[in-house]
Amino acid sequence: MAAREPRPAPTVLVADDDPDLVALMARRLERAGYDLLTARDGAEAAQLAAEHIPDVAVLDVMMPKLTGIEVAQGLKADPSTNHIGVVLVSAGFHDAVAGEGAFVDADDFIRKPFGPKDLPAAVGAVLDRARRAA
Amino acid sequence: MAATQPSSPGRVQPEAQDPTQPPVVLVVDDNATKRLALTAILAPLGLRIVEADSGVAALRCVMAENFAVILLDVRMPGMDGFETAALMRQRRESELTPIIFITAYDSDDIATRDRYVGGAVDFMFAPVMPNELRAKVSVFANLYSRAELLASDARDVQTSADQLRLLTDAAPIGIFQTDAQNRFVYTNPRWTSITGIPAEAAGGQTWEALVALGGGACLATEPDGETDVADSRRFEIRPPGAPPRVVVVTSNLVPDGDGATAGWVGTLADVTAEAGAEAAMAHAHEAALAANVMQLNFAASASHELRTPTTSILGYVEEVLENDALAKDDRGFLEIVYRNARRLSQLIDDLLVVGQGEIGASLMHLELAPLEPLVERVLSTFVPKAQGAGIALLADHGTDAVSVLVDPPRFEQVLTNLVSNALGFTPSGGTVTITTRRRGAVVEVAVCDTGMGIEVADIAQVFGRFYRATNATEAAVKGTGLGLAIAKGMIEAQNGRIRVASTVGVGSTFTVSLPIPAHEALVA
Repeated sequence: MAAREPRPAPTVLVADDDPDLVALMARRLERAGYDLLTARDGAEAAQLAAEHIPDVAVLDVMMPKLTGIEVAQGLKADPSTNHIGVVLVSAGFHDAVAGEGAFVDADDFIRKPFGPKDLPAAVGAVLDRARRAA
Repeated sequence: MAATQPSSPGRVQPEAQDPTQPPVVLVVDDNATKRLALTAILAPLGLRIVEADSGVAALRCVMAENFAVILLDVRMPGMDGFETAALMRQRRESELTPIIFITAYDSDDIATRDRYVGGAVDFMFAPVMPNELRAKVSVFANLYSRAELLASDARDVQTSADQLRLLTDAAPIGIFQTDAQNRFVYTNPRWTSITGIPAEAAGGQTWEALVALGGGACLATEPDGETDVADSRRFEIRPPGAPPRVVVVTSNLVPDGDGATAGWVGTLADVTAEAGAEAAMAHAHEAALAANVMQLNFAASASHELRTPTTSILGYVEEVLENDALAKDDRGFLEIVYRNARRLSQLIDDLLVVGQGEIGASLMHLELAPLEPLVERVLSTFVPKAQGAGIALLADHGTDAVSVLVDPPRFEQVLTNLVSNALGFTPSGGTVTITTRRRGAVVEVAVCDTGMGIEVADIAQVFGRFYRATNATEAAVKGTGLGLAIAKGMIEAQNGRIRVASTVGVGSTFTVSLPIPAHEALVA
């Protein structure tokens, strides 16, 4: 991965079909100092990710149009987006439904319900790993 | 010249001669003295002798029984010997019976007899020489005895063949025979009823040709476990005007005398019903898998639908609680909201786990894991809670580092529920001890507390869902009533068992037992 220009604040894309949760996650990430992009379904998330190339995408697993797992697969399969860190948000059971390795395209995941610090911590950890790898 | 009775089906047999009885000789002469003389000469041979005093009487005798040889006087009043012989030859049963003509004359008789009589004949001139007569009659009698034995054997073979045919005709399985080119030479009625092909149509055809004609196909060549000459194949055939059938054809090579193939004999079994049952079972298995997937999808959807709003409730309450300017009363109320939302969230988790547990063993990812570290990991998470409650939390291991076949996170959850329960029901100053022990073919993990114990009336129900012991409710111990139900369901899905022993006021012991994997048992 090529080293990127240092930027003032990393951009995080948050995608969930529940607007209350999008707002909650955005509020916590903004407070942690990130720039935010928000999407309401998987297709919008994929489109925004391709257009704006955020540093991290936080994707709810169960979303209309495209699931978080499908969006993650699409991002990791495309050379122009495969450096974007992916945090999946799961309410459980999706690993059982989708089978072994369903989350292999994710860099981290958190479970609902998550505490106030869980999401910023997960995003921070993914960014740290990306910086170290760069 | 042998008087063999040819055996062929449908032919009316004369009374069969018993091969153990002596052959019978017919002596024909109009002169009683001469008959007496002949009978006396033959007596040493031990044969039975029937006498006739005329050609007509002789014919009657021939119609009544079969003779090994006939001694026939040529010159008799009325019908002479040649005429009598000619008439005897017209009867099928006696056409081959040897006849010895006895005549006092010579060349004339011999010259004319061919006009009348064919077949085995001989001449003797009177007066006969006793030794010569005995020798001739003896030869014919022996021939006759041997022919009768052969005929008897032939009749036995025919009887066996007839019985075998009756059996194959009535057999509930198709039976066939083919020649060296694998063309049918015999098929039984059941073969016809299975294939819908009449025996006449099958004759001279190969099985492949007949199957292809109906649009059928060989489904599989089944492995043959019995002999190396039997060949077993499964076919789908389409009998005319009937639904397709699945049949199993098993053939056995029939070697000819030189070790080459004379043909095949075999059976044809209709296994359509069994094949249908197999298909139904496969279908049921698929349906069960589909139901499992449906249940998983339901669990995933339910989980998402329930956990998303609780995440919002908890999250926004947390946000508001971070506001330092919150009025004191408002903060108190919000903390109540938060605490109850947490309980609701915990209940949802437990409910989902119960649902998951019901999906059963198929969801478990069993792996060999050392038991004691699993137990220690669970215990370590409870150390702060135990200290806070003033309860001693102890471990006592005695399994020689055995490994067990479990789904580690779910096994840990079982232990977590048991230890959490034990701590919840034990007063300050009490003790919770976890003991691990080998007991024969199983390993046991016992969680023992010095708590309030369980009433006898409650013990049978502690593993039921939403069951809360009377004293637990009175003592205001928090819980959803699902912890033990979850523990039981999960441990059973990992091939384990759980039991409880308890004394009110003394404490309770919950014991989980798991089979020791075979190779682990050897380590002991």
